[in-house]
Amino acid sequence: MARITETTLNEVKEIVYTFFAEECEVDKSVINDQTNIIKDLDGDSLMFLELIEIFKKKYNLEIELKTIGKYAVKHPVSTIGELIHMQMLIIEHENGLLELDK
Amino acid sequence: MPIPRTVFIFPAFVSDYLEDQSREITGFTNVFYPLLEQAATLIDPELFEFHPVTKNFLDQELRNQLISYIQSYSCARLLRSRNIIPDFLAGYSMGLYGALTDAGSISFKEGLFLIINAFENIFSTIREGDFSMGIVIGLNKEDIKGLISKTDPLTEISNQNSEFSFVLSGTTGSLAALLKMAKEEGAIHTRKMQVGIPYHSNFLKEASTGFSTFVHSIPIRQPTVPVISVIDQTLIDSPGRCSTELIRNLFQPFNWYQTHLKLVGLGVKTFIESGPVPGLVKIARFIPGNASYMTVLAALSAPPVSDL
Repeated sequence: MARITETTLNEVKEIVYTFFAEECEVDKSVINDQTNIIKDLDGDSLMFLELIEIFKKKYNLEIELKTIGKYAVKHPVSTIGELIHMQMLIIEHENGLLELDK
Repeated sequence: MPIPRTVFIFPAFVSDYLEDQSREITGFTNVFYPLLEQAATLIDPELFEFHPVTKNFLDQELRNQLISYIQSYSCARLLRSRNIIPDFLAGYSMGLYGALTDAGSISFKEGLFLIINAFENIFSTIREGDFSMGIVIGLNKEDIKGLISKTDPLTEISNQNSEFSFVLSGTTGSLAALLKMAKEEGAIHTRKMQVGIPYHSNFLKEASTGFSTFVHSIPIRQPTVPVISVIDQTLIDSPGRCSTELIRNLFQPFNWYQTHLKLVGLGVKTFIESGPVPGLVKIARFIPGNASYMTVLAALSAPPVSDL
């Protein structure tokens, strides 16, 4: 289990904001934690997948995609803020993510 | 140092026109509309009423495929007219017709008739059934195979787009069951496609017999540019290989992911999607590597690496 710091949170936020600004071709300033990924940014599941891979590489995470998928079924993500929150949990708990629901 | 190479990739269908770039591509309409008129005169007058917003035929599989073919061939001609010349061609699924037309192996007119004949043979094969295609993102091939073994009749993998992205074909009931199981298994995303034909599956094997007769009646020419087989990633470099590929393309699964990797191995640095609506460019986001995917609009604005 990784130790999460304020720095980690800021890093994750920065990566997520920059990623969606570039992928969705919008100015980063129009994105906030309440921004809806699909409705406001026309985002899609491939972007979500791509972002997970970025974090897996950056933080050397041991987590299977299907673990994230199973978690997402119970905790659906709509906004940028929810995505950041889920990403923080992934970094912190990796393959133990599903244990959070027990 | 090897020269970076370019491939034109041809889409099969258009799923929506939200990001249509046809009006922004200088010269597109000058190429597209004469070809559309030719197709309308030869095979279907209603095609000439096509409009990306008001009459886009998205709910009509044959017309959608014909429009996609005309658009993609128009884009390839436009690219060539601006001196952007491909080293290879690849057709995504039924995009094969566009690739073979651009390669000079079949004429534009022959391409139209091939699409129609394939569709007629397919339709007569599956008219009794209720079929669909679907997408599963987030599971690996072994996971998918495990789920397939639980469906009856068996669904089939039609295509692999990336390590964790698959297209499946089956009866509507079996496919719905599989998509549900995939979600429970941890798929990030599942979706039933707006397609009623189980392309690239054994359900269409019977259709290939009638289509084969038609294919062999066409005097297929030597490709002027190698076309890569998306089925087995070999280079189609003879008329005989073109015929074989056309026939088996109906019912054999293909692998877009392996095709990408093979092309990169052949020195391809630039993939240009030969169509006005970005689709394959989006799929490519999750394929690792340094090759770049470009739309026609981007390619015409900034020539690919091999042309610099």
